[in-house]
Amino acid sequence: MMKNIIEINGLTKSYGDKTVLNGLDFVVEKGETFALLGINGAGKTTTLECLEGLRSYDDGTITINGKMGIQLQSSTLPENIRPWEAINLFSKWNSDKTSPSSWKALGLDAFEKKQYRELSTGQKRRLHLAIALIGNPDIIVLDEPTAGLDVEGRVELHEIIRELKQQGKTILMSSHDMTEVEMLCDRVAILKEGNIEFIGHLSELTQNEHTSVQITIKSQKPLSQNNFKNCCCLEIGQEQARFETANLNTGLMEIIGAYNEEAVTILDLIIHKNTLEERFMEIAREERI
Amino acid sequence: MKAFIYQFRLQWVLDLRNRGVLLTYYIIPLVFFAFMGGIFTTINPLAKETIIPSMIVFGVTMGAVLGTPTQIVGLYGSEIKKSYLAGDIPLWTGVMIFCLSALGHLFLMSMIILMVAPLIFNATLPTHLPSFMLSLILFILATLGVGSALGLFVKNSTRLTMISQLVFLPSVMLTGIMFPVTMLPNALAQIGKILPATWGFYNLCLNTPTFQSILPLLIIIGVTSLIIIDQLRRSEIN
Repeated sequence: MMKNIIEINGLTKSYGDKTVLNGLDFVVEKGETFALLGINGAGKTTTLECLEGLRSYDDGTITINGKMGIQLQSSTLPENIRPWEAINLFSKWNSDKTSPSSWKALGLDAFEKKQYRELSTGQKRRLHLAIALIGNPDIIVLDEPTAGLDVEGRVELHEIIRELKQQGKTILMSSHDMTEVEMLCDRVAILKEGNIEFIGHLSELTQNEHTSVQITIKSQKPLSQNNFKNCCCLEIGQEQARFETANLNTGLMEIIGAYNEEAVTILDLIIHKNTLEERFMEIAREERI
Repeated sequence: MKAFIYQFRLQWVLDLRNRGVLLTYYIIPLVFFAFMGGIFTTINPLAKETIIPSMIVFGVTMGAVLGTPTQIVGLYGSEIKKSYLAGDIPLWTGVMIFCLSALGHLFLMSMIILMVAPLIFNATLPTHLPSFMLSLILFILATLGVGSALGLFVKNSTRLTMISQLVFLPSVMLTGIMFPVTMLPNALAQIGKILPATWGFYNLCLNTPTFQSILPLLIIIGVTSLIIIDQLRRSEIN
């Protein structure tokens, strides 16, 4: 049985009259990669900063069962410090003896002579990740780790995160990049206006009862029937028709049955499931009751 | 303790890479000393008696009021503060390290003036060097206290530039280092008494400072320390 490594109960935070976190409850299990999602201002960074001890909160409890390493969304260092000096400084305060081999694993040796102001965004991210890993933490908190990175930088960072996951680290991250979340994360929580709108496995999010599947069929001639029991006909054109169904099995059987009945030859069939991004946007746009 | 010592050593290295630090702690005070020392001792031969204290007070005030707060704002007014908190580096170390390294730089700059002034301007050396050193260290600490409190209180580099001048300019004009305080209107002379430069200059000119003469410096160190501790507490968590 997995142990909860982070437990958050009733976390509440307001800035003046504005409630930013409205009694959040969630747990992060040991060894999982958990993402906090939400549009700008949803409360992701505030949640992470409360968790990291960088921000006070009004109510609720936060329990952390392990050492935490933190990569902030907008962190910086003195502009004339060199990467190895920064690593040494944070290592000394964490009583950790860093080895050059661990720097190499993060590619820091390639730019160790540069000063902080001379580093690219990707190099800075890697340096801050290296600092977050000082002291061999059990939990790694990454606040939008790939924001501002180019494709190459993102791919490199994804590799590093996968390796950390393989090492058994628990990763709690926030991100705007749904592809990244689909690739890296086990569970997600979607925040909206300080409330959790969804929490669970990615598969639950993209394949629940609210999720529709779109079926596009290209055929020799149009189908005459447009009334179906298990699906909805969105469009019937001369060369293709589009359908939407909540249940792929029954919906698809009924549509193919209709084509067979009318003896219309199907030339191509495309099934489009809702992506995480589409599902996320649906939740983000839903009105709160 | 090892971590603190490493951080202090690192700060010295970073200072030497920082043109702004070198300018405010060494270059401008020493260039000012070279020019103004020449002018003062030429137009007023009696200036040889006070040229060392006055140029040291100018240099220390410049470094501690214009230089140190800029460094402090660079840490506490930026995301570096969050990086330190997230990386388990205690926030107090920032201001402490800046002050200790500034103490070293400003002491070194003062020693350069002390050694060079007799050679090039025939300046009078202090009669009792240990007392002079004690007064100098207390004066540097008091001025650093004011500078650090400013840096922690203002947290914005543009506003800091203006507010620092409100301390720096009176420190130069109202404390006796440019012309005797007796030439000033009484109100301005009284304002000058709240500045460490007045008491720094007074004690550096004395042969043997007394407890009463250094008391204002000790009070400034105490008050600014309390302000610094309070500001650091507020800085810990928003």
